[in-house]
Amino acid sequence: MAKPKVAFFDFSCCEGCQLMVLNCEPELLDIAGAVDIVNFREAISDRGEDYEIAFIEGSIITPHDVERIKKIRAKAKVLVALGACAHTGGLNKLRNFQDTEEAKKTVYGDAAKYFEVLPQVLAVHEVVPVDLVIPGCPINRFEFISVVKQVLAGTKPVLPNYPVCVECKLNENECLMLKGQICLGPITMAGCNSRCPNSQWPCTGCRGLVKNPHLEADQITLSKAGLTVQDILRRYRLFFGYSEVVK
Amino acid sequence: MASRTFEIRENYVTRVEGHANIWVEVKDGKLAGCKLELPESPRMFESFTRGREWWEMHWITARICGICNHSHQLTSLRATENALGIKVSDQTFKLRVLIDDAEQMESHILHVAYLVAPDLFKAKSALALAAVAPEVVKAALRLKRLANDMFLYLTGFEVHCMRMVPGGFTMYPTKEELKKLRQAFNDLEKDMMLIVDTVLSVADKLPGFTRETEYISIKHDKEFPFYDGLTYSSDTKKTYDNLEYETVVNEFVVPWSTCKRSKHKRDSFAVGALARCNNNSELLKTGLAAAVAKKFNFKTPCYNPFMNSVAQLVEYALCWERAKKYLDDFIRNGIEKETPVKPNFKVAGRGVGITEAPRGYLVHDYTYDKNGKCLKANCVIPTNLNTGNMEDDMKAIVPQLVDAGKSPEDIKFILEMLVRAYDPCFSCSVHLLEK
Repeated sequence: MAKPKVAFFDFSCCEGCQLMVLNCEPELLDIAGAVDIVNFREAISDRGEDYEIAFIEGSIITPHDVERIKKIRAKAKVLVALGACAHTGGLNKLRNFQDTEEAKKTVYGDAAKYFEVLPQVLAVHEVVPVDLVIPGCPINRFEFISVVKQVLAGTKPVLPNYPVCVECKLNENECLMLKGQICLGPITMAGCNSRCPNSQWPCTGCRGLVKNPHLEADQITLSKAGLTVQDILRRYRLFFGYSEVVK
Repeated sequence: MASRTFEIRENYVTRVEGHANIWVEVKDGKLAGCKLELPESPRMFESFTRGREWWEMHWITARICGICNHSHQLTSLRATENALGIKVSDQTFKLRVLIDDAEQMESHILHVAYLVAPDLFKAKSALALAAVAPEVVKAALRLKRLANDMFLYLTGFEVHCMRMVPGGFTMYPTKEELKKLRQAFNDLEKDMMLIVDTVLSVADKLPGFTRETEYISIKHDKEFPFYDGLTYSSDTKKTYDNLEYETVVNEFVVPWSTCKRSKHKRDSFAVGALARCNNNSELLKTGLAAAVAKKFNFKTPCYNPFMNSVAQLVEYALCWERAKKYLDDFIRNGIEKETPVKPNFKVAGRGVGITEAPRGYLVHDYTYDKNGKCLKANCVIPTNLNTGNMEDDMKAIVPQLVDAGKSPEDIKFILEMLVRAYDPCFSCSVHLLEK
C-alpha cells in the first residue's frame, strides 16, 4: 500500500505548533516512515503539490491567505486544523476587537498602507470546511501523534466533551480558583491533561470552549471573585474570540 | 560560461521559520536588482496588547514566535519587571540564565542540524539526511530532546511555558528532575561531539565570503551574555543604556517587506551568534567553547556570515558547560520555593527588557498605567534588524558569484544558504512596532 501523502502549511501564527511536531523527537523518524511528507516548508525543501492529508497551522488574515487555503482545500482529502490559530483563530482574534485601520497605524505608522489585511481575523473553518481539529496553543504532541495514528487507521478522532477541570481533578491539583486565581478550566475543552494548572498557572482557554459550557455559572463565579464584565470579557477574548460569548 | 543575464526568484524559502522571498536580477553580468521580501501576514501584537494586564503580557507576547518563545517570555518579563519596580531574587536570575541557555541549545541544534546541515550534505531535509547518516540525526534528536526536557522541568512546557511569571516562578523542579537532567548531559556528551565533528567534516562547504559590517549585541564583562548585558556596537566600541536602545536600532520601513529595518553607523548591521561572539570574544577563550572554536579555526572578529552556524556551535558548547555547572549548583544547594516578587504599581511606567534571542538582540518595551494595564508596547525583533544586512550581503556576493561563472541555480542555492545562515525567524519579524 502506498504511504499517504501528507503536507503541512503555515498561515499567520508563531509556528510553535509545527515546532511541537518537530518536538516529537522519539517518534519523528517513525512518523516520517509511516507517511510520505511532501510539503513541510519549515523543515524540508521538497514542495509537492500532490497530497491527501493537509495540516493547517495559523489563522487566515490576508486576502492572499483566503485564496491559498481554498486551493489547499480543493486538493486535500482530509484537512486538519493544527493548533489554536487554525482551530479558533487563536489570540490573533484579539485584533477583531479593535479598529483595523487604527491597529495597522499603531503598528506600522505611515507605512500602514503597504499592508493588506482582512477586516476580521478568521479561523480556518470560517473559510473552508475543516475535517479534524487538534486544539491548543500550542498543540500537545501526544494528541498530534494520536490523531495521525487514527487518520492512518481510518478512524475519526473524538475530542473530549468535558472541561479541563475533569483532568485537573484527576491530576489531584488544588483548585486555583480556591486559591484566588481566575481559571477558565470550568468552561474550556479538556484534552491537554490540565497542562497549565499542573504548573500552577490558570487555564486561559486555549483549546476553545467545551460543548454547552456553563457560562452563566462561570460568570457568576468570576463576578464573585471581583471581576467586572469588562474584566471577564478581556479574559474570554484571549482565546474565545471566535465565539458569541465575547461579543 | 554561464549566462550573464538572468533573474532569480525564490518564493517562500524553505527550512527557515516564517516566509521570505529572494529576488535578484543580473544584466550583462552586473547586478541590476536585489531584494529580500518578507510577505508575512501582519498580526499586530503591539496593537492588541494595549489594555492587557501586566501578569499576562509575557504569556501573550511569547506567541509572537513559537521558536524563540522562551526568549520572548524572558525579555517580556524583564520589561514588565523594570516597568513595575520588581527586583527578582538571585535564584530567579540564575534559573533564568539556565533557561536562556536551554533556549539557545534547543534553537541552535534545530538550526544547525535540521535547517543548515542538509545544505552541507546536499540533502533536502534532516529526514533525508537520516537515510544516509541516521546516527547523526538521532544524536541531534536526542540533543533537542535534552533542551526540551530542560524546558519541561524548569518552565512546565516545551513551547509557551507557564511557570515563569513577573517576579519569579509559580513552580520549581524537584531535585530528582535536576539530577535526571544533569545525568543526561553526561550521557549525551558524545552526541554533542558527534554533531560538532560532523559539521566540521563538511565545514569546507561553507562559502568563504566575507563582508565586514557593524555587529550589535549585548555585552557583559564576566558571563557570556544571553539574559543579561548592555547594548554594544562593534563600530563605536561603546555600550548603551537599555533605555537608549532606539538610538542604536533606528527602525524604518521599506515597501517590499512587512518587516522594519534598521541602521546605526552603516547602511545596515548584523545581530545573532556571530555578533555576540565578535563582541564578547574575551569570554570565549577557555573551556569547551574555545575547544570547539579551535576545531573550526573560528577566530574573532569574523566577517563571514556563513560562519554564524559555527558561532552557534561555539555558543552551544558554552551553554552546555554553563548549564552543567548551574545544575550542579542547584543540586548541591537546593532550590528555595520562593513566591514571586509583587509589583509596585505606584512606580508603574515604562520598562525596557533586552536579551539575546538565539537569532540576536531582542527588545520588549512596555508602558503601564497605575493599574498595571499596558498602554504601549514595542518589540524589536532580531530578524528585522538583520534583513538589511542580509540584503547587503546578497548585493556583495552575487557579483562575486557571477564573476566566478556560477550558474543561476548555484547562485540561488548559495543565496538560500545565506538567508538560512542568519537563522532568520520571519514569523517573529513582522511584529514591529511604531511609536
